[in-house]
Amino acid sequence: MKKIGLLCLALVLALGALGVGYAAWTDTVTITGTVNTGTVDIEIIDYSNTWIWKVLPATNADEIVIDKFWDIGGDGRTPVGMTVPAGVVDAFPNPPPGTVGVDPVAYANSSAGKADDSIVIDIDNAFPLQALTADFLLHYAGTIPVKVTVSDLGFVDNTDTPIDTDIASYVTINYYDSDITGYKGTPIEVAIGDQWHYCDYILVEITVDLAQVDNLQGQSGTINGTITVKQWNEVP
Amino acid sequence: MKKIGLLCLAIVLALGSLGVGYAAWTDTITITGSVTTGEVCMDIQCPIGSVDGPLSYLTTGYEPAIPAIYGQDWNATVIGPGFHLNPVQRTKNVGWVTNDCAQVPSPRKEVTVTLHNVYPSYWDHLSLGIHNCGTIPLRLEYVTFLDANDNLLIGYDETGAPVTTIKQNTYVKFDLSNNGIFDVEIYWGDNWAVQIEPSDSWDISFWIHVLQDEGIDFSTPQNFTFKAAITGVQWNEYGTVPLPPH
Repeated sequence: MKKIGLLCLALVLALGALGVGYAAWTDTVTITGTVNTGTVDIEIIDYSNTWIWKVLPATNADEIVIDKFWDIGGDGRTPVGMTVPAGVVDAFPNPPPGTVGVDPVAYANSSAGKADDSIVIDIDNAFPLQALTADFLLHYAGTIPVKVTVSDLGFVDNTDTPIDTDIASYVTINYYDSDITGYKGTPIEVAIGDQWHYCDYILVEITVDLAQVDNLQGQSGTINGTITVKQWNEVP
Repeated sequence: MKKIGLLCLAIVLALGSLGVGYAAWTDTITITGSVTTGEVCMDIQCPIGSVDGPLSYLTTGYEPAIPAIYGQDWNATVIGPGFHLNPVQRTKNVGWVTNDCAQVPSPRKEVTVTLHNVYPSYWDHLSLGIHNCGTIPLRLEYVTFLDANDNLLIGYDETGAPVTTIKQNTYVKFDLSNNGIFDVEIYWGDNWAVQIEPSDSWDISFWIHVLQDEGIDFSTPQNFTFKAAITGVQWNEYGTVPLPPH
């Protein structure tokens, strides 16, 4: 009996000598991952204009030519669904291809602004009963659905303070479902509050359509506007 | 369990420290620009032409005769109404025509043409230019006749039908003295519906003939006034402008 006790004691002593600070067995797993945030991003794809020409020799009151070409990718004047004829120069007041004896009368033009995501609209010599539209194509490149929360367009003074003008009520902004060519087909209007999804194309039209009201003649004004989209789940 | 609880608290604290005032993501397009509207504007151009020359300074009698035929009156061949034959030039300067075109600043919306010392059979051909001072092509839509107080003046055509507004070359006669006898007749010339481009001008003209109104007391000078209001309209609206009510 005495020998077992000594043996046990020896075993305990031997085990105890294996390491000072005897600890639990461990193992480790490592988790590595990435977090990618989504984006809310509108791109301005292209711009278009309305140019009004009058046929000079015509005595018919309806002899006007409305030139509305779509310029995709800056490759010149590409009519929707057509190719640019050779030799066409893309500039107002050059008349549309194939027309002669015309005189420019009025135009509505949209073009890139100096700042990112900005647009400049110029509408000149508008007159009654002939709508002038400056339009541009937006592409929603964000990965998170959004809704339009701000869409306003108004007249301002030289300090950007909103002002009232007689022509204000005749200027409108509308949105339409479109495709990469800017074609709106049978118009499906996009309402404020509708969702835009990744790679949606939205055609925006800013139109001046004056009534036959005398006090609208010879007026001018500076316009200012904003289109803001917001992640969809933050818009009630 | 204690370790899990501490882990959850650590994650919550980490997320909470990401940003104070957590807001939705947005993007914005900014639009700036300008809008201008056009203008329909007509301007009467000087000088206003008259076949009876520009001599106009005498007020007591008739102008002195001058050697040349310049300034000598023209008369209708037939003293009665109607422009049936070519007028003839007489050998006297009795009547004359003046206008205030040069004194009216541009754009001239109204000029006054005065026939002085005229008499039955006196005839004149008046012409003036209409200038498009606006930015939109226009056309002459109609001419309306008014009295001195801008009330519609009723004239009569060759059939005796009343006329206040004309839209084409036509004849109209008026009883300016309001005594039931016609005093003057006019025949309006051109240029109906012609398109006048911005900055361009077109000529319009009319004949005027003084009629034999026996009801007038010619022992004292008589003054009659009528106005021809010319209305132009933007070219693509020609033919749609309603006429003024009778």
